[in-house]
Amino acid sequence: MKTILNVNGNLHEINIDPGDYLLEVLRDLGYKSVRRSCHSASCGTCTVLVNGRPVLSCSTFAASVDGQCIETVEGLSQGEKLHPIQEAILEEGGAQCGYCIPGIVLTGEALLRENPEPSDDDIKLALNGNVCRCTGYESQNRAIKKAAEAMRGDDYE
Amino acid sequence: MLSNVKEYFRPKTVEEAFEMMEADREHSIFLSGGTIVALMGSSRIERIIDLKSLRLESVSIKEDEIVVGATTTLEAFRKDPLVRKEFGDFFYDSFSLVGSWQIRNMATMGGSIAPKLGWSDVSTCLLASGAGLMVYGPDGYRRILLSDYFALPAGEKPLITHIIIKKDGWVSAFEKFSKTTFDIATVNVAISVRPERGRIKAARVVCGSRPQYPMRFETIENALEELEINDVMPSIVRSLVFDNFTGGSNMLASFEYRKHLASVMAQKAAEKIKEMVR
Amino acid sequence: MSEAFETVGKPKKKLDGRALVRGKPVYTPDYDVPGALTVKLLRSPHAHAIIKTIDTDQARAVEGVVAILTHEDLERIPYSRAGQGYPEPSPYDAYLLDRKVRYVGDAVAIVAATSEKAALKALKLIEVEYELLDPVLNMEDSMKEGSPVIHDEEDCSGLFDKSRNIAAHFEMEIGDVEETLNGCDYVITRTYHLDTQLHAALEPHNAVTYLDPTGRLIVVTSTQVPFHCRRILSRILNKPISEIRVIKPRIGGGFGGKQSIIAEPYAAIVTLKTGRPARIIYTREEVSMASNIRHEMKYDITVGADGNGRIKAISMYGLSNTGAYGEHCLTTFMVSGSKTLPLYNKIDAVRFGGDVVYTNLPPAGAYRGYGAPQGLFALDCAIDELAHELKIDPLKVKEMNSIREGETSPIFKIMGEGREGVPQIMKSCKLQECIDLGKKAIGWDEKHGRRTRKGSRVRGVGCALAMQGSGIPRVDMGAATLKMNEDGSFNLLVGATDIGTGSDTILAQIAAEVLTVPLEKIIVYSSDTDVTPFDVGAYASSTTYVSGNAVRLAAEKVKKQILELAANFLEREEKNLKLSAGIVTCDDGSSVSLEELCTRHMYTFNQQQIAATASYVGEESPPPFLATFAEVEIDTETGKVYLINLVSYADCGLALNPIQAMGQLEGASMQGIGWALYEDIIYSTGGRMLTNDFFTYKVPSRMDYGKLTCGLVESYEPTGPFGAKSIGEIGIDSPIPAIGNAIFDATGIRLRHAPFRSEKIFFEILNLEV
Repeated sequence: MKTILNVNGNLHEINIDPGDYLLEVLRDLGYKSVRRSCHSASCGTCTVLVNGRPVLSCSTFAASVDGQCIETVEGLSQGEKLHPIQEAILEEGGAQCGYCIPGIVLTGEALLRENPEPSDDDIKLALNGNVCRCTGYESQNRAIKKAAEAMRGDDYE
Repeated sequence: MLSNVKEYFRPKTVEEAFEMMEADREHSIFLSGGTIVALMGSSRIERIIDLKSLRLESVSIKEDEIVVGATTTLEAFRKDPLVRKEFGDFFYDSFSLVGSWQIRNMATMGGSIAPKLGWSDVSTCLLASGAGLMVYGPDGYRRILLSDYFALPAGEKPLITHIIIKKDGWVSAFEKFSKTTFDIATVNVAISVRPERGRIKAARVVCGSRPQYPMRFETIENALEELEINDVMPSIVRSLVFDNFTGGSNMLASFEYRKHLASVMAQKAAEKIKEMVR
Repeated sequence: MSEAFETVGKPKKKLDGRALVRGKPVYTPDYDVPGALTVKLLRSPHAHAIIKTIDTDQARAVEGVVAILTHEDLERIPYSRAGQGYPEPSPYDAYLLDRKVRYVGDAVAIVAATSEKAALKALKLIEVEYELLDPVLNMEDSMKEGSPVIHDEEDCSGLFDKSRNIAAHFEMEIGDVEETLNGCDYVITRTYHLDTQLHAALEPHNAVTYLDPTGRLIVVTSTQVPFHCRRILSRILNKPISEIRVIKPRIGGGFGGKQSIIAEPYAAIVTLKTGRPARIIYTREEVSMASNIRHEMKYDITVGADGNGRIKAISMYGLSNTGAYGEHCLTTFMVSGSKTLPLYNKIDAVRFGGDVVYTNLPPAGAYRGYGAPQGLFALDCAIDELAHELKIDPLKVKEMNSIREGETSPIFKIMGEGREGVPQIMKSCKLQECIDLGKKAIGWDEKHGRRTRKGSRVRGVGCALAMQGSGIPRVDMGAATLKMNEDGSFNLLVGATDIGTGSDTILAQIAAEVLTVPLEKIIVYSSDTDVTPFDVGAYASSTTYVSGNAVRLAAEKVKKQILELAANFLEREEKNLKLSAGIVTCDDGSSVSLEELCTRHMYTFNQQQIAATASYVGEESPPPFLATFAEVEIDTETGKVYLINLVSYADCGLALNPIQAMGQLEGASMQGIGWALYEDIIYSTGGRMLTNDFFTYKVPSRMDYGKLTCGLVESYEPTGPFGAKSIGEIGIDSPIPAIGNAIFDATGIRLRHAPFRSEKIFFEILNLEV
């Protein structure tokens, strides 16, 4: 069936199978930052934003987001400039193997759009569905906090 | 992918959606949030009927009831200002640990009830709030209680269009026990009481994830009538739940342990209610 | 110490960091190989069975199916999946496809098709007739008389006693344990049992294989051991090593789960048989059930001490469950003694031994800690119990009996990994400082023994000390090649395997430090068997110490070349030259930049490639040390354990990159916390792993712990590169004993079987109160 996907502002007119999940369709379109780690909606690795809200692309039928605004991490950094969350993760050591990072960056961005001054608990709750097996979470939580400050302009004295 | 799916429908009306389902029930599935459909990954599914196109996301007030469209997401529902105004933090808090933020952005009110999941926190809370449903079946629309929906025989599967919660001034609390924070409940409990002059005039006591799906415990509810809401009340609730709990064992917990947990969760919920009433 | 350096010891951002945070396609599944066939495996639903007949006719007829292979189509070659040095100290008891299946999930047939849909359809149409055999589903039953024999095949080798399902056996004694115990004032004997665990790395096992234009087999895979992979593939496929190339791109975690040759052979054989590229990606269920898991181990332990708490004798006898196949069976078992017992080096006598047995359960393999966590659970908790009997603070008992700088332990010589070890003296050991810092951070003196109660909740604290190693001495070898470019940059080619640890970065830091250039001047390329020199791979905490030393040696060789050439170029004596900040200067003022030196030597003057290769094998394996403290709060009404704080201080020598080192410590700690409290593997009565997805197997999420406080204590290891040792594994050794000891402190309940399930704790508490 024909469908149109709006990914990071790019319109893709494609032919899909009605049973296709958004995850594989995005990967086939070249958005390789979207990754599969499990088959039970239980790890958050495949998170993308649909209309600004973090959802699991592994459990979203591509046909169901026909025409909706989809964001992947490829769309977050302009050219060579990194998004503040990406920069903060780099500084804090929040990316070890890196597999979970796109999901975390997007979920973090969605959180900060809604709540520019999140507490530690807010960050933990919002990202509780983004599993990381490498870092032990501390560095990533710090990174989100740091990015929030940078985005509020707090550290520009 | 669900490899056997051949058709994807976007019905414009509820009637259309229901008729599409009736055309081939065995190979069709309603798609609302999608998390359960993906989780089950059933190869028998050949037709997907997407209910999102029915545009049933809305929360509105009608006289003394809150009417929630069935495809409203859990996150949208719990954060809705109307819901918070009428029910305080009950739904805001109890739904905050359903799955993850991503799952709450996908799972819908109707989609959480329809599959009659044993561990659904949503079902437990809605049962305790005495929720009703607007459903569409072969004879058109009708309004039924959520508890009636759960009791429908296996062959009867009307389409849920709205969830209706009365603004009845009851005080509610929810507690659950789970292994980790991103996990289904090992057992969950929701209690709702109508307080009158410091006493429980009436109550709704629900235990879920027993592992069977949530149910009200009428014996306990009857025993709570006229009970004074004081410092002893929570432990009475605990004993009642312990004595009357029914359920089973599975990978998550033995029946014995569940019974203990349910009673402790019930006591915690009762403590919360006590504080709210004061 | 770290202030003296420019690059080493600095929190430099990871070299691959930008690519990772931008979500770049750098993993094996992102490698676009056009026309790659999808490979799927038919897996056994039975724990123990013989394949009587297998009919693939219907499956072959499915449109899109290109090849189906069963044991009838393949040459029968026994091998070990273990990614270890050759000759592997593991049994050769695995076959690419066998006529016998030995666990639920064992491979039965290989299907290759042009689409996933076709492959899955074909799987369903393969008809197999099984002759069911009785399975052994509990390691306690493996050696019993009359138990079914799991490896009864003629051609397996390296097993200790296949008739009794014993894959490996080990024993050693130093001194006379019985005599020493007789002379002790206090002797306790206990049994400790630690269940298995899943690695749960986020990237599933996967590989893509193809033939290059000359017919060589190219394997791109998510592996920790590219060189072992090449060698073992050569054996399995009967293809010369020279005709195989293994490339490891970025990988999404390993933790030991990718230290065995698991998915690659299936894709590779399809490529060889069909001539076409092939890709295999394990589902999460397959990763859980059919890759490898941790060795479940049980120890009978006896500890004897005098009235003052001085430990005189330790005896440990163990049983380890290696599952259906024996990769890493002997070595993990030995490490549970060799990387724990030396901690308590003041003993007069020590004995360690036991059996590693087969069961019809998923094969156990390498996993961070590699036996040390299992051994430490028994050792540390037994000492903790002894201390309580003696009414002495357990931290004090551990403190006074543990090893310090300048000391040694007789264990080092006797026990290596799979063979004899190497004697060594602790040239660096800041264990005391780790204890002091950790003790203060948790508030040990204020909290221990208090059993503070608030309502239904009770709190307690526990401690555990740990050690590990840095590579396998006289076995693990790593090599590095550095070659210079005319802009003063260097290509650093290392076999060393970055599995997310940041090893590429720290190895570049070492090279940059020696060559006095900024980090950006080192371009790292790693883990490609055609291009990079040999390295054993990422395991045994060897990369920093072994591969790091190789890099340092190679850089020093290059530096020497530079000075020689500069001397000739500048017409000065080498002894008057110095390399600093990328410029060679003579004490009389003449100088040449690296850029100019190389440009001239590449094109117009004494032309040659400035390059060097160096190798390193450790003569020792200097242990990192760790002191961990846990504060728990137990809800006595539910048995749930809340981890209030886990404090872990480690001595890893000089931390070459403090951020990466902390990351290893924090990550390993969290994996230990998950294992202690949440990660539970449950099998059906038929031996099928039920908890094979993240819905049922729970790794900790962000809200599942209170505080995690990790710290590094700097020491200087003279044999390590710039004083570094290692940090990759040790963090996972201590959380279980520390938490177990804390649960005891809080409740008086001693749990000797981990993970610590809340249901178990609940009923123990209930029993206590009755």
